Amino acid sequence: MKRNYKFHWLSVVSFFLPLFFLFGIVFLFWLYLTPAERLLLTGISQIRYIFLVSYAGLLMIGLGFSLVWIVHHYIIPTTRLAEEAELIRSGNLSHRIQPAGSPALRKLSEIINAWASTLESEQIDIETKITEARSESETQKNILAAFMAELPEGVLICNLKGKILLYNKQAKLFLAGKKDDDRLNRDQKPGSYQYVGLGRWVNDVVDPHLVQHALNEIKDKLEKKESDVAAYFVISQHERMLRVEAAPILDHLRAFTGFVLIFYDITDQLQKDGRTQFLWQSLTRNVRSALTSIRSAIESLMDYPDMTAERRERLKQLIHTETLNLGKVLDDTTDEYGGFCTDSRWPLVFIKDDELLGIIKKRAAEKTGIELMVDGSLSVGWVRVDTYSITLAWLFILDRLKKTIGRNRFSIRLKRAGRFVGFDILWDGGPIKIENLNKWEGQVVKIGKEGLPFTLKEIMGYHHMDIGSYPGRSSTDPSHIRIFMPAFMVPEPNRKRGVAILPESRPEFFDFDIFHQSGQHPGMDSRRLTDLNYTVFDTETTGLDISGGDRIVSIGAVRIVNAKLLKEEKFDRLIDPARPIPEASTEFHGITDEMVAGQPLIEEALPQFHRFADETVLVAHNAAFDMRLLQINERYTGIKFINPVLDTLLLSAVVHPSLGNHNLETIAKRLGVEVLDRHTALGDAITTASIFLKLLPLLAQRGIYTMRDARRASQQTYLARLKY
Amino acid sequence: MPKTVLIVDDEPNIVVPIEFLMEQNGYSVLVAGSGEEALEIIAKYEPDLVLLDIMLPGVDGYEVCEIIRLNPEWQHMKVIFLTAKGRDVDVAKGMVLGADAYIIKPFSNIDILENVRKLLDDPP
Repeated sequence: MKRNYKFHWLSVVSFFLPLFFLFGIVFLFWLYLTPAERLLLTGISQIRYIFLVSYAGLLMIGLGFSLVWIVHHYIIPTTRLAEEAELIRSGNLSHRIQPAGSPALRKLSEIINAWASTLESEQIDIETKITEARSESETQKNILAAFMAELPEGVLICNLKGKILLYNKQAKLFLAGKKDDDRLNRDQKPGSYQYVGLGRWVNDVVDPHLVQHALNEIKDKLEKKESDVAAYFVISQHERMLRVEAAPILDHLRAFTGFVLIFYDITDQLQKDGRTQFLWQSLTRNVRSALTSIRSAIESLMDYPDMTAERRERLKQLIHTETLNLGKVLDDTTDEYGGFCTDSRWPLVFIKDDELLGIIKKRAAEKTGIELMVDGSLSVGWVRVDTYSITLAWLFILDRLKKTIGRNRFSIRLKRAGRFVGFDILWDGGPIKIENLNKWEGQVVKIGKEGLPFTLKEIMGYHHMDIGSYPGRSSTDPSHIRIFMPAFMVPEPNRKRGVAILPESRPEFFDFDIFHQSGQHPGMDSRRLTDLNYTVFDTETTGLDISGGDRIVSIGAVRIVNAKLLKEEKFDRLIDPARPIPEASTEFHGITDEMVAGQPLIEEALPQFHRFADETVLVAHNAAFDMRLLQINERYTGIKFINPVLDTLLLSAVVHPSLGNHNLETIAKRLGVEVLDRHTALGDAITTASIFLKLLPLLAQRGIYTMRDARRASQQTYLARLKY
Repeated sequence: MPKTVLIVDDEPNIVVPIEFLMEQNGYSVLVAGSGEEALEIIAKYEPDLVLLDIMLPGVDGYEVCEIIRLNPEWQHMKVIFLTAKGRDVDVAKGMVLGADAYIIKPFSNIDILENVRKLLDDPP
C-alpha cells in the first residue's frame, strides 16, 4: 500500500474514532435518562449549544494538529529512516541518513550513521585484504588475458552451442564491422553489421556451415582418437583471407565442451604466393618459348647446310634475339623476385643503418675491446636484420680482423652501393686476402663463450648480404672490407606487436562463467534478472518534443552479460537528424550541426543498433521516452524493437518509493555510482548500466527475481503512468 | 600437290624456324598468330594438318581444336598440339578434344617432323 493512502486512512481513523466514542458515550448516557431529564437536557443544550459546538470544534482541531505532528515527527521520518537504513545495509555504506523527526528518531539516525561508518571502515579493511589475497591469482589471469589480447592471431572461445565466451581484440578487428557482401546471396541485407561480444553467437560472424563442418570433423577425429584433432578452413572478411583453426576444449572427463577458433591473417602470404606463382609461370613460359625457337633454328642450320644465305641470316638473327631475350627474362625475374622474396624464416626487423652501427659499436667495445670510429656518416638507408645474429656476425668479423692485422681501432663508413648499403671497415695497411674472407665465412660464429650454431655464410645468407675485400687506393680510400646489406629506402611497417600491459582489474571480456548456461530463448519472462543479457542505452535528441518532430542525434549503448558491465562492447554513434539542432539542445549535449554532418542517417544507424541489441533486454533511464523515439522511427527504417524493456527510473522507484527524486544523478549518488560524461549518450548509458547492476540485489530483497517480477513491479509504480 | 600445314602460334620467333622446317621438307605452309586468324585460314584453305599452340590470346588452342572436330567436313584434318612440359593436364585435355598428337616445347625438329610425316602418311 502506498504511503499516501496509509496517511489518509490514518487521518480518517484518528479523526473519527474519538468522535465515534464520544458520541457513543453521549448516546448511552441519553438512554439511561428519564424523559424529564432528557427534556431538561434538551432545553439546556438548546440554550448553550454554542458552547458544545465550540467544544467539539476545538476537540477536532486539537486532534488534527496532533495527528499532523505525529505523522511528521514519527511516521514519515520512521519510514524514511527505514528505507535509508536499508540503502546502507544493501550496499551503499557511504550513504548517511539526514537526522529528522523526533529527538529519539534523530538519535537513532545518528546511531545508525555511526554504525555505518564503522561498517564502512571495516569493509574497506576487508576489501583491502581480499584484494591482496587475490592479487596473485589475478596477476596470473591478467597475464593470460594480456597475452590473449596482444596475440597477432584472433581468438574466439565458444561453448558447444556457439556462444562466445572469450575473444581478443584481434578477433574483433578481423570479424566485427560491416558484413561483407555475401557472394552466395543468402538472406542478408547489404551493409548490415556484425558484432563480436561475450554471449553473442559465433554464427553471426563466421558462416555456420563452416563452423558445423569443423565441429563434425573434430568430433569424428575425437572418436577415432586421432592425435591432431583440429579442423581447418578459410574465410574471407573485410578483404582479408583468414585461415581458421578450430580446436576442441575438453573437460576433465575428456568430453567435448566447447571450441577455440584461431584466426590467422594469410592475406599477405597468399598475395606473395600468388606473385611467386605468377613469376614462376611467366619465367617458364618465356624461357621455354626462347629455347624452342633457338633449338629449332640451330637444328635447321645444322641439318640443312645448303639453305639460302638469306634464310641462314634470318635464323642466325633469330637465335641472337632469343638469347638476348633469355638474358632479359632472367634479369627481370631476379629483380622482381628479389623485390618481395627477401623474406626469410629468420625474424628480421627494419633498422636504420646508423642505428645498427651504434649497437655494433657499443657491443664491440664491450665484448672484443675493439674501438669503432664512426666517421659521422649520414644514414644511407634502412636494412632488415635480426639484431642479435647480425651483431654477433659483425663482432666475429671484427675479431678476425683484429687477429689478422693486429689492430683494435677501425674507422667505419657508410656508402650506398646500388641496391645495397655498404658498411666499410677501414684501416691503414694492406688488404685482407679474399681467401681469408672465404675461410671466415665457413666458420661457426662464436665470440668467447657466446655463439650461434651457424656459420658466417649462413647468417649472411639469411640476411641476403655479402662481404668483399678491397685494397687501399689513396690515403682517403684505405684498405677496407665492405659488408653489403640490401637497402630498403622506405621501410614497410613491421607487423607490430603491441606492448602487453597488465590491466589493473580483470579485463571485462574475460569471463569463463557462462560455460554451463541454459538456452537463450525459452520463456524470457521466467528467467532470473541476473541471467539475462542487457543492452543499456541512451539517446540524445534535437529536443524533447518527439511527436513534434524532434529526432535522434546520438545513440550510446553498452552490454551487460552475466551481471557484468562490458564497457568494451559499446555502441556509440552520432546520427545526422536531417534537420538543424537547436542551440538549447546543443548546449545540453554538446552535439553541433557540424558534428553530425556526414554521419549516417537514422535509416542506416538504427539497423546497426538493432543488430547490436539483438537477443537482449533493453534498459534505459526513463525508457518510455527512448522507446517512443525508436517507435517513431519504425516508419522510416522498418526496424521494430521487440526486445523486452526495463526502466531504471521505475526500478529505482520500486526500490525506494519514499525517496521522491529518481533522476539519473540523484539515483547514481544514492547508490554510490560514479557519473561519467553526463549528457553524452554513451556516458549516460554507462551510468544507467552501473545503476541497473546496483538495483538488481535491491530488487531481489523485495522478492523481485525474474523479468516478470520486474515488469509487474514497474507497472505498479505510479510513475509508469507518465506518458510521452 | 604439296600438303598444307598451318602453324598457329603467337610467338613469331617460334613460327619462323618451324615454317622453314616445313618448307624444307616440301610442305606448303600457312601461318596464323591467333585462334581467330587460324579459324579463318582453316575455313578458307582447309589445311591437311594444324600445328596448334594451346596458349593463344583470345580463342585458345582448345577451342580451335573443338571447332575443327565439330565440323564433319574437316574430319581428315590432323591436329598436333604444341604444349609446355609439366602441363600434363593440357595434354589430357587436348587428346580428349580429338587432337592426333602433341609435342612438348622446347621440341626437336625431328620430333615435329616425324609426327607430321606419320600423320600425313608421308615417307620419312
